[in-house]
Amino acid sequence: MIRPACMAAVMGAADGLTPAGWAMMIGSVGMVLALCAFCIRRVLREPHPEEYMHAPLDIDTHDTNDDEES
Amino acid sequence: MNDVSPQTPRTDRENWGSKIGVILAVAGSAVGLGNFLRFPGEAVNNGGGAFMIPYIASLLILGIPICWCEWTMGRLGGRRGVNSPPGVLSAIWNHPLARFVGGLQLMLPVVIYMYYVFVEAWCLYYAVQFFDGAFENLFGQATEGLTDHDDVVRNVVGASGGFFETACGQGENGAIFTLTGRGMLLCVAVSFGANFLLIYRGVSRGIEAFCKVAMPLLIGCAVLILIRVLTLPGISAGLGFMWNPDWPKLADPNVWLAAAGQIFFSLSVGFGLILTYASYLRSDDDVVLSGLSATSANELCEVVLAGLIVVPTAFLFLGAENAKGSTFGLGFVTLPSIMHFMPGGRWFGGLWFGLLWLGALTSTLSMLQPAIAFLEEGFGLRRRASVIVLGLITLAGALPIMYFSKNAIALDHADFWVNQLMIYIGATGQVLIFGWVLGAHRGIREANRGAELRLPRGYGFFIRYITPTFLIVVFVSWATVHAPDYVRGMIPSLQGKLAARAVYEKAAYEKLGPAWLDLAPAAAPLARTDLSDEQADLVDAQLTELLGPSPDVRVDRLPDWLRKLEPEATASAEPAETQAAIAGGLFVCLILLLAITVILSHVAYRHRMARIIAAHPAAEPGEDSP
Repeated sequence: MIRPACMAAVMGAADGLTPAGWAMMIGSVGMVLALCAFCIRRVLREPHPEEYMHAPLDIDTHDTNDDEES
Repeated sequence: MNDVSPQTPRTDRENWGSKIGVILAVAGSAVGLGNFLRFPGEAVNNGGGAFMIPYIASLLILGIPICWCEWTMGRLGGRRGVNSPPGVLSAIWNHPLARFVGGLQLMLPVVIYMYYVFVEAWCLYYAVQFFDGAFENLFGQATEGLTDHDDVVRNVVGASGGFFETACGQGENGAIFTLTGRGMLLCVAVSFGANFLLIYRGVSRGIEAFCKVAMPLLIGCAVLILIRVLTLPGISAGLGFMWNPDWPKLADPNVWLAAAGQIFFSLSVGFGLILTYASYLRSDDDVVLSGLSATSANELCEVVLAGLIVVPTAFLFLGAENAKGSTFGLGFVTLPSIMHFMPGGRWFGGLWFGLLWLGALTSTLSMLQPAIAFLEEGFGLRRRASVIVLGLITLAGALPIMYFSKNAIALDHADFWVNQLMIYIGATGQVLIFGWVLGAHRGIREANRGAELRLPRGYGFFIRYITPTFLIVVFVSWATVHAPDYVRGMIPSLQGKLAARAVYEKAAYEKLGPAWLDLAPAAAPLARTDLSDEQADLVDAQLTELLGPSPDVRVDRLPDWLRKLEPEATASAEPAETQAAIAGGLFVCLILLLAITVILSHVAYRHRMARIIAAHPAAEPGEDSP
């Protein structure tokens, strides 16, 4: 997938993750994963979430059939 | 809790299927260009890991609270029979300022659509070109006979940059309207047509059903890449490049502005979309968990997937120079270059950009609904007529943005004024209406109606004090730090003089720079961007002494060797003046459009909305009728 020459060039170009870098990465990713896990758990715990939970484009705008309106 | 009619008991499998369906729908709606293209560039250019501090602060203080407030106000407005932002806000507060904020939130998605659809077309064009093998041929020719890796990288990135400049009209205004730009023009037409056809036929829910499969597929692709990327040898260097914090950047207000702008853009809060869609909900549909789930899905794509993949991979394959580009540079120059170094890059690139196009399409589709709702309820138009009117308006706005494509001048300025000025004003107005007019207590009670997850304690204090203060502080910082440069960028005479001066400065620095910096006479001068602060101050002082303090260089006072550059300086002034005139013209157009939208909001309110709201009386004491 990646050639050794490329890796050699890269390895000398940066120091890798510093402790602060690790902290920021793990903290940010961990926070987002925890938030997702919390939401998924709540959705899965609900008996019928599809009846009262919606994503924007999943919402029926009730105005899509002009003929019915008339 | 919900007034759902009795139903046949479901099997466990059906029940689980519907729950997964909700999760997929939320995930499908969350994916957009802001996640995979905009976030990595913003992060790496604004302090790396340090960027996450203002970013997470913006998410917690702005993103999530405003998202809940939009869902709640939208559903409340829907109960009063109105769906557009001016209608919803007027139903809550019968005041001209509500029409102003609503008008602004009506205009914003329309303007964003005008330029977003152009970027959407780029994705489609790139997908077609990848599948067609055009990139494979391009990179093959660019690297033919080369063995040194640095040369290969340089040529691949150069070829990719050249392709982007030509295909997307970055080199010349009007380029996509020429014969060579007809492929891109066709993709623009397809993207534009697909949006209006889908919304005209009322099948946006159909496309959403498709996206329930396609967007998780995009996320699945990204997860596979993530696993591969995280197991590459040396990935720590790439991750370090993205995540190691540059703490001093936190003192720069631009970093905080960029973080807040990213939150607004990627969560689609602050510009009326959620306000409109939530207005179609039933009065006891959940808004709190729905809003939080959409936010968390968006953050998963943005921070976890894009944050761990795009920049670290670009760094590994192409080096630091190419991993620290602009949003468009990373998305449309660096990423295609990376595909060259991947097995099956042709097909993977096609799939990637194809799915990105689909993600962008779902975003642009949702941007059209607020204006359609406004035309329907404000002027009594049928959906079909509303779609045609909106199609003509957006086409009229999109054409100049596509025409003035050199260095993405029109797109960049439109994005700047919309994302970094108007969204702040709109979001601030909306939060103040929620917290102080509707009232935090009543707003919380309304949000908790039918909620599967109740709003956290302290939300009222947050939305009344913390969120508006944060918005105002960020906005004032912007006004003092960032705005002056953009205002200066719209003055043609000043930009012309600065461009001419840049020619003299470049020549003077190349000739005298080594002496000013006490370098050996034969030494190549350092790039000015590489100078230390002290060196830069020294060079600036010398240039001021040589050329004068004013942007207007007095040619008659220059030494002969500089004076002979006058024709070159004059030639460089003209395009700069043109670009500044375009930027200024665009700003004037935006202000005019805002004024027209606000006036129309007022007229529509008087004409129809007030009667609609009056016909749907407040459901509980305290919900004021106009």
